[in-house]
Amino acid sequence: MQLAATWVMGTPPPALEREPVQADERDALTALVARVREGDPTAFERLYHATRDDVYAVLFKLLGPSPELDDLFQEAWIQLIGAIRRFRGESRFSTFAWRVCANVALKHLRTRRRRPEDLVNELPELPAVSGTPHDLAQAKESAALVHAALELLSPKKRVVFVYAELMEMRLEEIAQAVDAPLNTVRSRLLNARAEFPRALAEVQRLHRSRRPVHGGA
Amino acid sequence: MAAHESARLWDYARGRLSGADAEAVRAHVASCPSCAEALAAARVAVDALPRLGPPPRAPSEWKALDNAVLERARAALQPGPWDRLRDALSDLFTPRWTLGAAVFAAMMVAVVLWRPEPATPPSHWTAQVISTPGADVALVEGSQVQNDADGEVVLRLPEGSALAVRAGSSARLASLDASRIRLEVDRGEIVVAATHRDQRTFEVVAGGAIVRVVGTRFSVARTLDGTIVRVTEGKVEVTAHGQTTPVSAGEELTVTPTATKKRSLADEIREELAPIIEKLQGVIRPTPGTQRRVHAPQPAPGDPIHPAASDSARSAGSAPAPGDHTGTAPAPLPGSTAPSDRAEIASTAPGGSAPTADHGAASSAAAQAGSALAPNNPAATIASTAPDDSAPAERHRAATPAAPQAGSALAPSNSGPVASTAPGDSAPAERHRAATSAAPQAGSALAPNSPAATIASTAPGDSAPAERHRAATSAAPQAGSALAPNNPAATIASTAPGDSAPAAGYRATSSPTRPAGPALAPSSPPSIASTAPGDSAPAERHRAVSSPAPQDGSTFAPSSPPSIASTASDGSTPVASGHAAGVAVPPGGDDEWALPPLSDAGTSRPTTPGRATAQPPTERAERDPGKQWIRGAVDNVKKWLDVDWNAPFPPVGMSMMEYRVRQMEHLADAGSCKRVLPRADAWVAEFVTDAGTPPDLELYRTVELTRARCLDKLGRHEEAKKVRQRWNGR
Repeated sequence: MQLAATWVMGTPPPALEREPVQADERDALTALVARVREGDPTAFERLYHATRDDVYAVLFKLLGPSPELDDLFQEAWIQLIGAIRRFRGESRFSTFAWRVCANVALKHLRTRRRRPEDLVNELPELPAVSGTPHDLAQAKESAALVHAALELLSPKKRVVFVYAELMEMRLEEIAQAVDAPLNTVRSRLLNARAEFPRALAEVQRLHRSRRPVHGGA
Repeated sequence: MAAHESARLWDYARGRLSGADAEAVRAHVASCPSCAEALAAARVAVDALPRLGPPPRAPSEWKALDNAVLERARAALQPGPWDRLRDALSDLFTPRWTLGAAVFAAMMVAVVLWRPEPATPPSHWTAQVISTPGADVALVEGSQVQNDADGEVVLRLPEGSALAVRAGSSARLASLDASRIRLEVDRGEIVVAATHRDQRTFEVVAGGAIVRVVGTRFSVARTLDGTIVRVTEGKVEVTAHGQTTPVSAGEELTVTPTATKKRSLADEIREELAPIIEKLQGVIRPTPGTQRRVHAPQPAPGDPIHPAASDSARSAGSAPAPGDHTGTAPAPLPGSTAPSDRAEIASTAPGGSAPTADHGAASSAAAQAGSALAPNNPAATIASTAPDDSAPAERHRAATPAAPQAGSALAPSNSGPVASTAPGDSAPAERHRAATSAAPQAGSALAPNSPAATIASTAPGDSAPAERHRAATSAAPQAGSALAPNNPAATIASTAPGDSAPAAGYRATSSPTRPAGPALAPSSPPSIASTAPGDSAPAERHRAVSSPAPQDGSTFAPSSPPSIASTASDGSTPVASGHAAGVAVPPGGDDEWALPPLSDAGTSRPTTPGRATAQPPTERAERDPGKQWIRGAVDNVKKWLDVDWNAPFPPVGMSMMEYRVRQMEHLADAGSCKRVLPRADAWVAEFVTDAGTPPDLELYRTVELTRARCLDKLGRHEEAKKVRQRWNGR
C-alpha cells in the first residue's frame, strides 16, 4: 500500500519501485479501525488523516481531474464511515477503502460518459509542478491525453486497469476491491491493456488534428 | 512462430518480467511485427501512465474537505443501541451464512413444533330452533331433536335451510358444516326445505337410505315399512341398496330392507305436508351461516313491565285471564328490532289457536325480550302451551313483580320476583306457571342472597291435571327449589312432586339464554330445567333440547355450565351453550351485544310461518371472488344492454361505428323502420364504397340484416329476401 505517495511529475514513477507493505503500518490502521468501531472519536480522525491522501489519489486516478472530485471524495468517506462498522478486519483496510472508492467511481462513471471529441476539446487543466515551461506543457498535455484515453475504457475495465497499472495492486486485491471473480478481473485487465494504447492513439490523433497550426504565411 | 505474447507485452514494457521471460518476449517481438507494434504502443502508454497523479493540495484546500468529512463522521460514529445490537449480531453471525442458517433452523423448528389447532366449528354453525320471540336456542352439531308432542319442531339450519321434526319424531344433526349438512332420522318423519347451495352437500340418512338434496322440499319418514322419501318440489337422489334412485317432485320412494319402490305422491300426503312446507318457507333463509343478533333495547332501571310487552305477549297467543295472578310473560317491545331473530322455537300445540309462537322454550323468554323486565326485576319467564290448551289466554305467565298475589311470597332480600300460586290455587285455568312462589308453602325456598333467582313451581296441592307445561323444574331436593346463595341468577323452574299431570307436554328444557336482560348477571350461570322426581309425566313431548346433566332432582352447582336445549351426540355435557346460541351474557351490558356486520342484519325477518322473506345476496357470493367477477361481468352486460340509444356518443368501450349500427338495430326493434331504412341504405353504401372490404364484417352483416327486417316490415319482401340470401350463403 502506498501511503502518502510523494511522486512528482517528471520523476520516475515510484510505483515501479513498489515498496513492500509495512506490517506495522497495516496493524496500525487495523488498530485504528478497531478503535473507531468501539466509538473512539479521535481514532477516526487519525485514520482519516492517515489515509486521506491515498483515497484522494485513487479517486483522482479513477476519475481524472474532475470538478466533482471533492464531492466524490466526501461521498467516498461518507460510505466509508457508514461501512466501517461492518469492517471486520479480515482484509486490509486499504482493500476495503479501494472497494468503496471503486463503487463511488463506478457509480459516477456510469452516469458520465462522454464522446472522445468532447474529451479532447475539454482537456483538463492540470497544474504545473516543476521543470521547464516546455516540459511542463508537454507533461500537462500528456496527462490530459491519458485521462482522455481512460475515459474511453468502460468503467469496469477502467477501474481494473487503474488499480493494476497505476495502483500496482495484485489481481487478488483487485478482485476483492471490485467484488469480482479473479478470472473476470484478469480478463478485464487484458482487454483494458489492449484497448488503452488504441484509445491513447485515438485521442492523440484527435488532439493533433485539432491543434492550431502555428507559423506559415 | 510461437504464439503471440500479447498477454506479456505489457509486463515486458513495464519491466516486470524476469530474465528468461523477458528474453522469450524479446525473441518473439523480434520475429513478430504485430507484437512489435503492440509493444511499441504499450511502451507509449506505459510511459504516459505514471504522469497521472493528483496535484498536491495546499493545507488550506484540505481544510474544507477535512471539516466536512470529520463533522459527518462525528455525527455518524456515535454508536446507538441499534448499532450495538447490530454489531453484536454481526459478531455473532460471522461469517454471514450462519445468520441464514440460524433463520432456516428456527423456521424448521417452528414447522416441527407447530401443531395446528383443531378446527372448531364457528359458533354460528348452529341450527336454530324457531319459535316465538323469546326463546333463543341453538343446536350445535351432534344435537338430537326429539319431538314427542303433536306439533312440529322447526329448525333453521346454518346454511339457511329449514327443517321440521314432526310429532313423535327424532332426528340428529349429525353434521352442520358449512359444506356439509347431514341429518339422521332416528324415528318418525322430518320435512326439509333445503336451499340451493353449490358447494354444499345436504344428506338425510334414514335407515339404509341416504337422501341427497339439491334445493328442494321433501320429507323423509322412517316407518315400519321402511324409509319413505316424499318430494314435493325439486329432486333428490336416494341411495339405498347400492344404487341411486332419483326422486322427483310428486313422487314417493319407499326403501324397504330389501328393495325400493317408487310411486306417485298421494294427494292426502301432499295436503298433509303442505302446511309444514309453508311453515318452512317462512323459516328458510338464503344466507348461510349467519345468525343475526338484534340489539334489544335496554330497559330503564326500575322500569316496570312495558305495557307493550304484555300486548305483545298477548298477541302471541296469550291474554291474561281474569284469574291470572302470576303475571304475564314479557314479550319484546314493538320497537325491538327482531326478537325473532334470536333463536326461536316454533311449536304448535294442537289445541292452541296460534300455530306457532306459543311456546316459550324455557324461562328465558323474558330475558330474550330484553326489555320487559326492569333490571331490578330479574325474573325469568316460562311460558308454554298445553297440547290440549284451549284457553290461549292462560299461556304465557311469568313471574313478575306484580305477582305476589294469590299466595305468593317474596323474601325480603330477594330481589328476584317470585310468582307462585297458593296451595289451594287449583283453578283449572291456572295451567301454566313459569314461576311460582318461593314461599315455603309452595315448596320452594330461596336463599336470601339469591337476588335474581326465579323459581317456578307449583304448589303441592296444585294438582290440576292441566299443569302440563313447565319449561323447567326444580333442582331442589324437595318439591320446590333451592338456590345456593352464590348462585344469584339461576333460573329454575320446577314442578311439585304432586304435579302428576299426565302430560308435561312441552319441555324445551333449556333456557339459559337471556343475554342482555337484567335477570342474569354477567357471571350467572344460566338456568337448568329439569323435572322433579315426582314429575312423572308420561309424555314429555317437545324436547327440542334435553339437558342431560340435571335430571331428576337436579342439583345446580354454581359453576355449572349453562344448560341448553341440546345434547351432544355422545350424551356428554350439553354443548349448545349460551354462547353457541349467541346469547352469552355480556360483561358490559347490552352494548356488548352489538350485531355482527351482516348484510341482512338490519332487516328483521318475520318468523311468521308461511311468509317468504326477501332473499339477500348470499354470503358466499359476496366472498367468492369468482362470483364477484361474474356479478361484475353481468353488471357490465346489463350496462351494455341499458345503453341510452338517444345519446350522441357511444358508451365507454363501444366504438362509434358499432354504436351507430346498434342504434339502428335498436330503432328497428322499436319499429321505426321508416327511419332506419334510409340510414341502413346509407351505411351499406358507406361500407361498400369505403373499403371494398368492410371494416367490420359482423357490423356490416348486422346492418344488412336490419335493413332486411325493415324491408320486410315495409312490405318489400323480395328485396329483403335477396339481402338475406346474400348473407345466408356466407
